Amino acid sequence: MPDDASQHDDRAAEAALVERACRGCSTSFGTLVQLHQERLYNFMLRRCRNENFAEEITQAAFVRAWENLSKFDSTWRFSTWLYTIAIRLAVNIEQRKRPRVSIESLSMRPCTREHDPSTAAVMREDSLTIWQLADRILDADHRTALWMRYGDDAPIEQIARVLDRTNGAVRVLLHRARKRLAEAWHEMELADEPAGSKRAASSMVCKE
Amino acid sequence: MKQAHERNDQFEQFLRDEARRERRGLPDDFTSRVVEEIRGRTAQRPGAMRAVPIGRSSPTWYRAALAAAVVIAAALVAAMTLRQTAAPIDHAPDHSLAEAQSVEDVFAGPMAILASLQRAPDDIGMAIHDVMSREMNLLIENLWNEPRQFIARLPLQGRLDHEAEKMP
Repeated sequence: MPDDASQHDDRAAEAALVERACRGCSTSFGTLVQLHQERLYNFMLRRCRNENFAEEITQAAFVRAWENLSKFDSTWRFSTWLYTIAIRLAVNIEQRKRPRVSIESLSMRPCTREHDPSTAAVMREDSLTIWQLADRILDADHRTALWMRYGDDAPIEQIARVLDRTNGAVRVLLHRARKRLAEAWHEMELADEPAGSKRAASSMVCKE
Repeated sequence: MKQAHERNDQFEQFLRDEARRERRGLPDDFTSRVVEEIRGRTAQRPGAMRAVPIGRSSPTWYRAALAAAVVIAAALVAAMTLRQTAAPIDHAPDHSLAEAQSVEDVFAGPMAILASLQRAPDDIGMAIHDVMSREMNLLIENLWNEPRQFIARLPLQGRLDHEAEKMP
């Protein structure tokens, strides 16, 4: 995690870019795009689980941010604002499209040791990474919270703002997501032959 | 318990390590595509992009307009108060206020009285002038210090109560 002084410098530099962009400087906005594009894209990739859609939303979010720069509240982080715009765009587009496949219905059901149909189905697939497993068994908000926390090192407050929840609710979300994921990962390990780093991971499962 | 915490920490670190490997990149031309799109939109709608930074202090003209609006509102309230002091106060809603004319009319009466009293040659006229000035100052002071209680004593109370009942 960057220390406080460098974080402060980053925020100051970003604020300067935003101010110039507010005055119509597209070059400054281009710099902001470069600074945030990959994080936003990976955030949306985790949220939407589709590379093309994630790229489309990422671009649309930047354009929407440019058009609404006058509404940006500098008490927010720029990334938080971007993430919020992107989520809303994605929700609007998804609501307009008719969903074809819904994996959401499989999310967050209690995981029993004896049988969990969703995890069992997943286990029959090729070996997955932990994040691919998360994509399959967690719903959008749990995936988003988990990625922001461990992929982006985002503070709880930022996650809460993006997901429009309280800090406490985010902590609960993260706890449940970790627990669910850890249990599913352990079950997958039991189903597979132990190999390589997966064997190491199985010992890390959070058992409560 | 300690082992559970250690396993938690290890799992969290595992998530972080795997997240670094999981990251995907965007095409090299992504930034230029975005900049091109925003420049195109700006060219189509140049007026729409005049941005005012928010989250900073409001522009000077806005503050000046707000201050002027506050002053005018205070003057209107004072004028309505002065008009009310000339009429007998009762607890029935004074709908005649709905028929009140311009601010100048409201001020005209008391000001005319004051003007004529100032011109009065004898001491009685001056005394009345002093009393009225004191009363007006007292009214304004009451309005400033205890606006809610003061307004409550006005015939407007019936109307205000009615408005308050309609609020959620």
